[in-house]
Amino acid sequence: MSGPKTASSRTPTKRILTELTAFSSAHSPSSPHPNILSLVPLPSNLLSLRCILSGHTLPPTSGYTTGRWLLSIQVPPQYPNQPPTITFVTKICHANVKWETGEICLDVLKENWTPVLGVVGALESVVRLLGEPGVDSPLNVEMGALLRQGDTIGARGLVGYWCGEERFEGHLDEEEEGGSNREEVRGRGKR
Amino acid sequence: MDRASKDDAFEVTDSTDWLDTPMKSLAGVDAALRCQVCRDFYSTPMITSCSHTFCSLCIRRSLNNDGKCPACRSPEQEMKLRNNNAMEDLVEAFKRGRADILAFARIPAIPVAPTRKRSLEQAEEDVEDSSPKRRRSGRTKSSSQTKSSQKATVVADSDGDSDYSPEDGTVECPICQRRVKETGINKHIDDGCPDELQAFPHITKPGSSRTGSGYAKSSIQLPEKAIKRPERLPQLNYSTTKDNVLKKKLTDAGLSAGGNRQLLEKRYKEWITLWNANCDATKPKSKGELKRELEIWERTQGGRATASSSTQMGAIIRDKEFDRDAWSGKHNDDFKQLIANAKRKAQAKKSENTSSANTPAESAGTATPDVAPTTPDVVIGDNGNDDPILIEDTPEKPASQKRFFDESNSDPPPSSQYQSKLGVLDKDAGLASDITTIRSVQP
Ligand SMILES: [Zn+2]
Ligand SMILES: [Zn+2]
Ligand SMILES: [Zn+2]
Repeated sequence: MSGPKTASSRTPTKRILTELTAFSSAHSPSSPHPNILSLVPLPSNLLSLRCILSGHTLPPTSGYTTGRWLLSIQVPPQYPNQPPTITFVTKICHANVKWETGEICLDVLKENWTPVLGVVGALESVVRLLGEPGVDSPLNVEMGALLRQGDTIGARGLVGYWCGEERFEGHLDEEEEGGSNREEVRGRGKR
Repeated sequence: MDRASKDDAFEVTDSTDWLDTPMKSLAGVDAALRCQVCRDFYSTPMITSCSHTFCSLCIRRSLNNDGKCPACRSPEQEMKLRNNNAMEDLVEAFKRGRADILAFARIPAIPVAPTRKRSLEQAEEDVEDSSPKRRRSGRTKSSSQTKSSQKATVVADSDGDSDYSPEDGTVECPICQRRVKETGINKHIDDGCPDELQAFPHITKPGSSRTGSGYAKSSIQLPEKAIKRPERLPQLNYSTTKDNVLKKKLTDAGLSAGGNRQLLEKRYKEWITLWNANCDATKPKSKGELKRELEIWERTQGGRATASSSTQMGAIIRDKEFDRDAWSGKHNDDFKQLIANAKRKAQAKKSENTSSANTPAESAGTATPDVAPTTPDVVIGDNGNDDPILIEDTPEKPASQKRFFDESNSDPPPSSQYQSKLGVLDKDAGLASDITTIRSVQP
């Protein structure tokens, strides 16, 4: 009979693995996370992940619908009590993302983080942020200024332009065969 | 079943296991029995004053970190935590049955040729005509046949049993129609059909051992009361605790007093967390076990790992100099095994999807760690290939993507654009002033 759970079952690696398993099991045409196209760890380090986000479900007015971005996720040893660090590797034009580094300014990734969120939840928050930029303390000053002035057409044009220019067209290898197939399956569902 | 006992530290199960079975609704049950912090089944569940439940260790660590409930972020204190015993019983009961139910659920829906078991079931069916439970889908029915005839018997017994006449030495009392031991029937009638348990031998008739043990359990569990628990350790006020006092506390507890002040504090804090969480447990662990857990923590989450904060971490990993060998070495313990298990699990799922002829024995086997993995082992710290990204060469992008003002046909006219934008912005109270600005721009 199984004894009480040991502390070793509560390492960040274990929890990430559980999240990844749940994510890939729920991954289907009717996935609850339509914007997260793939999420895979580096083969040598489970706490260092890569992810592809798509903007196709965002409102057209956001300008991000054609976007496809590669992101990097670093999971700290204190996870899930400390948030993962998520950055855009693909350049993105957004008031709350630093153009040069891809750093994201989002409360739930910082002071409002909660262990309940998890990596997938955090990524969904990032997708939501794309549709709902905050202009209070923008990391991208120009975008912040455009939005502040109410120049949504200008902002949207800029966003759309860079979504096309920088669009990440690659795929994430899922470590072995099956992976690319799955990517193709998903590709069919996309428009 | 063997797998029930395999629910150890390295078995990764999750609620989505049910999604590819006919018992999809069990995913919700499974998920409700898991802690949202560790995503595992509750271990020593504790309820907060805001009525959220977490594992003792998870919530204590979390409160140590920011003093808030992870689910609703309301302030919470460790001393307010209370054991959620009902949840603990539920979890333990579900865990015991989970592997069996899952194996049962995963039996493919292929028609089974009539067997000895089948005829046995047929015989029962004749006796008790058609109760609602018999009219199940062909799928479930064939499963129950292959699984065990015993299960079918249990189900059958719980339905109509008025004309059930087992060969267990009982007869039906002509007055109260209850089944009574043949040898005791005269006394039973003489006593005026008493309601004592002796008068209900039908609860022990073959196949209904479930009900029987249920009665037995509740009567045994009645005197269950206070569990003898170790004394909790008080939190230290670290700002007023001198180095030598802290070191003495560590040595007194039999722990290492090595490392800098920050490390000592973290170590002692984690020790208190482990210790106090253990005090909540129904079956507290030995001090030696707790020490081993502290060592694991020190390697994976504490010790030097704490030196790099989450923000520094990004920098470290972006840096080409990043020592991946050391990094993965630190996580090596669980890592290999976790990966291997996950692969095995993925493999099992894959083969389940491709071949429906998979037997439960096979799928159970794939989840057993001592079976040789079908995929090559992951080599930790191999510098050869750690870039998994295949960037397909796409020299030419569609022209439409390059247009600066790429408007899609479905775009609404500018005025309604603002409207929908307002809807979005409304969610953020801090943007109220900007909303008025946007409005005033309109002609
Ligand atoms: Zn937990
Ligand atoms: Zn709460
Ligand atoms: Zn009677």
